[in-house]
Amino acid sequence: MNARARLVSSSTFIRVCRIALGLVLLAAALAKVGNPAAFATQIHHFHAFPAALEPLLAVTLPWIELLAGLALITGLRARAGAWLGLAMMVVFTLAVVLAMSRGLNFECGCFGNADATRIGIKKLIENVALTAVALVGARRI
Amino acid sequence: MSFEGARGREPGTGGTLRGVLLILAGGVVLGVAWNALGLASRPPYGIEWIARPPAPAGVVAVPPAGGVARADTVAAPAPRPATVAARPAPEPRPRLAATPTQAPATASEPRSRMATTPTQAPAPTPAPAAPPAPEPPRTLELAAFKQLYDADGALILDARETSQFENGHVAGAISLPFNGALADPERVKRLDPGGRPFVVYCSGPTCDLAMDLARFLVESGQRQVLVFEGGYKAWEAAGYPIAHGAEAGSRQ
Repeated sequence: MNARARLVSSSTFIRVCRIALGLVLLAAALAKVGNPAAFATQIHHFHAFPAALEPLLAVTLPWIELLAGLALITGLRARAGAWLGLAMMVVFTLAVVLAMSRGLNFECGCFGNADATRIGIKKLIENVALTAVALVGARRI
Repeated sequence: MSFEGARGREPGTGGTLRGVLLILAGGVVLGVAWNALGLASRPPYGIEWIARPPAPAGVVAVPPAGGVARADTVAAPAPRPATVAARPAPEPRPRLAATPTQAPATASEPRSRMATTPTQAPAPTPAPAAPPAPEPPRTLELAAFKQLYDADGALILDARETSQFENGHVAGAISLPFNGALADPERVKRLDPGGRPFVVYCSGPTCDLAMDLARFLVESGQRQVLVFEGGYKAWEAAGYPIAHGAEAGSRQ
């Protein structure tokens, strides 16, 4: 086992990745939980989801992020939280790619209104990095 | 450190999937309960369950604009929300009034999706003596925009990012990225179109920046705000005058 493989499968590293992902998810969730209407607007900007589902997504996604983040941080059902985090990061990354390919230009709303980062390469790199962290976190300890 | 020894303590695929479902179900229940609680409380918060597509700006009943906004140059309802326009009109399709940027442009516009929050004004009651409600942004088609453009009858605002503006914009347009406008509301208030209407555009019909900026302009007290929905793509494709760089560029 080379050094990189050893690091990636080290339980300490997996835990660190989970906590990091958990903190990001928690921050994202707390920024959005209180203002589903703003989040619904942001979702609408992506033009990536059926409009009828947008309110449901806006209402539930922050809470799923919150629970997944808590699971990751506390270690209770942490692997499930990491899987969910991974799934969300993949979907978010695809949504960013889709938006970029369509030439859309808006704030991502990833962290509610607090995040003014616009859809673009920076956001894409951020999401890909978080997906990698989630991939490590999703491993079994 | 033995990694093999640590393996197997966590649940496998089945157990993890159960955990995933548990978190998903918990999130959905909490979210739905929170929103239901919000809608039931007084004053309510939260959002309505059914998404209402944004009403096309052109559909909103507006008295014909006088002066330079020339109602005859304003195109009929925007083509983008075709499904909305095709629906029977009697039931209004209220627009999401969620963020400050999306706040309703007119007091007459219904806001059913976002529940009224304490900060929002109570339901407007039509008062004959009240000053006229600000005009909501209306949409403009390419031909109408070109007509207005040729007559120098509008102050054109580019709502896209500065870098996009520099890569090419409608000649004579001023760069006012939506974010920049939000960050500097005073500048927006100071904008003086010289009695002409504003025409706002972004990259194309799928971007929301132009409508967002237009609504913000209206909220900031500007009147006669039009949105060119075709955006820069349609303008450029038509071979109309464009300019590059940070300067507005001269109309040809």
